Amino acid sequence: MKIFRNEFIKAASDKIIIIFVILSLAVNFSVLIVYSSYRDSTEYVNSVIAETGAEITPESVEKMKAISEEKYDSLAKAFFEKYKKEPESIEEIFMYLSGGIDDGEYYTTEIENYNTLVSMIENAETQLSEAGTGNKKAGYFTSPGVSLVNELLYSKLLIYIYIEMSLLGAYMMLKGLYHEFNKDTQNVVFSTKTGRSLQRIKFSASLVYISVLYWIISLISLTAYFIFYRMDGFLNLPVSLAGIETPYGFTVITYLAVHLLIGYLIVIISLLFAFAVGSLIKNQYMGLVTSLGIILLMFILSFGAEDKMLTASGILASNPVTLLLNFSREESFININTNKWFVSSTGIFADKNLVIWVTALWIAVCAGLAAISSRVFRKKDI
Amino acid sequence: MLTVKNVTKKYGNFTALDNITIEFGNGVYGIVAPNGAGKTTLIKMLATLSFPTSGEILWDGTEITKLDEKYREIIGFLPQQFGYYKDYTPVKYLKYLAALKGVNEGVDEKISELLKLVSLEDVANKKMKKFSGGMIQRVGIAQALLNDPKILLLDEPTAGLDPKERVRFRNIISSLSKDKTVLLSTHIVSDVESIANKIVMIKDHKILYNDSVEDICSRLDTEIFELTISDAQFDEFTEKYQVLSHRYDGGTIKIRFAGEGVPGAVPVKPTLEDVFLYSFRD
Repeated sequence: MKIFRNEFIKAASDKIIIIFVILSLAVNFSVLIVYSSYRDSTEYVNSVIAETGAEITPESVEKMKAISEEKYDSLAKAFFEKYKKEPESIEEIFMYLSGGIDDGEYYTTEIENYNTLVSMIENAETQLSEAGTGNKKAGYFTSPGVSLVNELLYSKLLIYIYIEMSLLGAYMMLKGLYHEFNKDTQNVVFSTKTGRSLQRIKFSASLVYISVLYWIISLISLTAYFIFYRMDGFLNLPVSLAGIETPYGFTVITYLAVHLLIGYLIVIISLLFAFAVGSLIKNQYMGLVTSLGIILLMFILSFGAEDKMLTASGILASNPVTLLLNFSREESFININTNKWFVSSTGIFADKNLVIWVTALWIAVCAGLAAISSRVFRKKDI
Repeated sequence: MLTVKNVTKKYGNFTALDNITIEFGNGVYGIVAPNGAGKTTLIKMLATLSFPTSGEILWDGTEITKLDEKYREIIGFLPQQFGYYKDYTPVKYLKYLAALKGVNEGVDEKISELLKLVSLEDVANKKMKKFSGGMIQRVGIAQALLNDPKILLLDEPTAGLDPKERVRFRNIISSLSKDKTVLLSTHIVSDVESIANKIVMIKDHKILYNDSVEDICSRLDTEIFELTISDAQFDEFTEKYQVLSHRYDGGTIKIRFAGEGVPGAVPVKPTLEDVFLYSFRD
């Protein structure tokens, strides 16, 4: 326990790791403001669906139409009071009201909100009519802002967190493994009773520390996201409404939790991989470059991997990141590999628990590699 | 009993130790050889930091690799390159190593006892970054003794120590050797001459001698002489005889040399240094 505590404190007080954590948070926060121009409209959509419900049904569409008509009437009334005539269209209202010195900005926002409602209603009616023909189920109300803000979460923020934490986990692991060699204490330390077992304690300390950092950074980043972009109206929707058929019946919030859990497992896979490499490669620069390079490559290859899966490069693309997360499908509401495994696949790829099998397999492979490396290290010349 | 049996260690094509067999019981063993002869390789193998290419190392009849932690539990090791953590105090450093060595009881008392033994009690809580080489080496000696080892492996332990500290260190080792196997590797012969029960001399990666100081020295009985010559005779003399040491004394030179007696030369009792210099002559 004393040794574990010592290793944990060593990792926790590492200046580079602290700087990396601060930079990660800075990057995550800066990513949040990418679609800040959609913040108000997203908040408005959330306030509307609080009244209508987010799911597209004939009733909710009617309610939304009523809200939209009410908004048009209020704009038309304002137009009439100012210009003493009935407006011919929303464009005319926009043309006149948005130019006002005192209240132009207010009316511009109101008209934008009205237009958002109209586009949502049009989209909902299309989905309802398609659902009527039996081709597909109607989903949820959406707007360009909502889509982009969703994409921001699943295609940017979460991916950034996974990449940051995977690299940090690997770096932390390697820094720990090479610590004695850097300080020239390897001869003293590895000749002690528990010296050759120290690598395993270092792994445990890194695992605990990166787990703490992963969940804290995820929590801070996601809290900031949900404070900045009000998306609470969608959180309890079934993900199936976003066209994602899972056999688990996830809601958006549970799906997000599963997404984070899978990201966490990728971080652990990276940690195990770095442990295996660091225990085998004596040269720390070579170990760092090999580990971080391969982990980064897994992420890079996963982009657009869908197209590569059936080609020769598919072997490289079939890494844990690609198999568990499918970043290439930006149009998806949520990008866990559901479309690949649950919808369009057949055979074993359509297995209900495939994500679990794949995760377990990769963890088993990396844990096996780590165990072999650990055994090799115990018999290796220092 | 620590047994090195037919051990060979190779690094690629380079043979660092060639088919070595030695037995170590209780007492001080001085492993004497010039740099690069394989001393550190032997000590590192005994410390399980590297492993024989062939042959085996046994502790009480069991291979040390099989004993694993049970073997490492009974060794204390001061390496030639003794690294430390600059921001640690001796107390913090020794506590950390005590944990690694599996010493859980009476740690604080043991640490103060050892720091007193190596005269570092006054700086016990000072950061080691300001310590001199000699002070660091003394911390190293203390850490090697932390677990009260049965086997003490010391690789060039007196490097960086001043003459007073060297004497003090020799006395410590001598007092410890009663119930321990102490292996002291050095190329400074005087470090071991007075305290070693046996000397293991390594030449060309093989054991040259494995005997007591007296027995090793007796091999050169009647071959070591002292002679006083003039400055002008010196060059000619060094060409004919192996000069072990010389000292200018006024206008003459007092020479200690190995070989046959020459007129005027006085036979002297060989020392271990004489044997060392004679054995490792160019």
